Amino acid sequence: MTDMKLQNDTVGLNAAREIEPPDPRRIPVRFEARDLFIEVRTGETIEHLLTIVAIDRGLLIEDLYIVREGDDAPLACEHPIHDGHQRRHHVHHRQPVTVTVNYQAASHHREFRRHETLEAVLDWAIGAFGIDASMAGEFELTRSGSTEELPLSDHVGHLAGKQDVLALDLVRGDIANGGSNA
Amino acid sequence: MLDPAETLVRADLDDPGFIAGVLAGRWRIHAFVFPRLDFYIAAIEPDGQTVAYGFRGDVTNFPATNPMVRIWDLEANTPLSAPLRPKGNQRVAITFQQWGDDTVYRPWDRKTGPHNNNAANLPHLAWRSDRHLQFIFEDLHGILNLNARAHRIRAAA
Repeated sequence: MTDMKLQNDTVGLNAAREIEPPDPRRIPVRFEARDLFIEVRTGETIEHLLTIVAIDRGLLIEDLYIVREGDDAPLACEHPIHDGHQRRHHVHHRQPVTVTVNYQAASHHREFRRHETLEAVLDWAIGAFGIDASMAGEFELTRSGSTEELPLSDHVGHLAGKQDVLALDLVRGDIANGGSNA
Repeated sequence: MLDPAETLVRADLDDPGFIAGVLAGRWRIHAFVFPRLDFYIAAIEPDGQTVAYGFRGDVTNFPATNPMVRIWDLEANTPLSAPLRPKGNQRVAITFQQWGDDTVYRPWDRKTGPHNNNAANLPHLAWRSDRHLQFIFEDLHGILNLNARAHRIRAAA
């Protein structure tokens, strides 16, 4: 174990080789659960990213917004990309998503902004179903009817895609059976 | 000429989703000398402290063969001793237990998958050749941060 802060040493395999950021730069972008890089030149703004995604997907720029990974506030179109360009840029449709979570025979639903994480949904669901905090670590989310546990860092909007609704199941996280402790 | 497996590993490490995890401070590559992949994953301890745990992976014949991952003291270059392993609920304890092969006890792992039929019993957590390394990093990060959830929910109550 180490108490090192990963944030202070965030070099990826390729990023480690880059002393000066190249121009154009590769900007990590995620839209509807698809990751891609978009090349941008110094001075370009958030509107440039929105334009590329909108044209590629046949959408209107005004129906989309961008939030950088870890931020809570959307970026204005005129915001320069170079400030914080390394972080992933999440592109979302504007309308919120009504999330329904099913657990045993009950369901709860609530509206979430598209850039809220599944972790926020899970935290809310654990409270909504009256599950004790000491049990919180036992649970995961899956798409309704699926067994595949979802990465909690992902955004509600990426799971919902074009839809305004998202149905999830609250399930016990599976653990492998065996080893010396089992 | 690179081994095809090394080429595919490098492509996974350069994937925007994987890099987003690096930039967000969720994980970091310590060293990659094929087939050995050493990395750190950020974790929250039961007392709320933020730390990072080291891992040593073997990615021979990736992705056709499951990666094999052990929790590792990357400074001492030894398996992490039991008292220093992550603490928390049963999911944490089982994942990082010391057992025969002493790999991470998750169904996607090369040794854990066939052990007690774990991969067959839990196919949604098993390795498949269409999965990417990010699946493993997300899984380990999720397990190592289970302690944070109880802290958040108690604080919000």
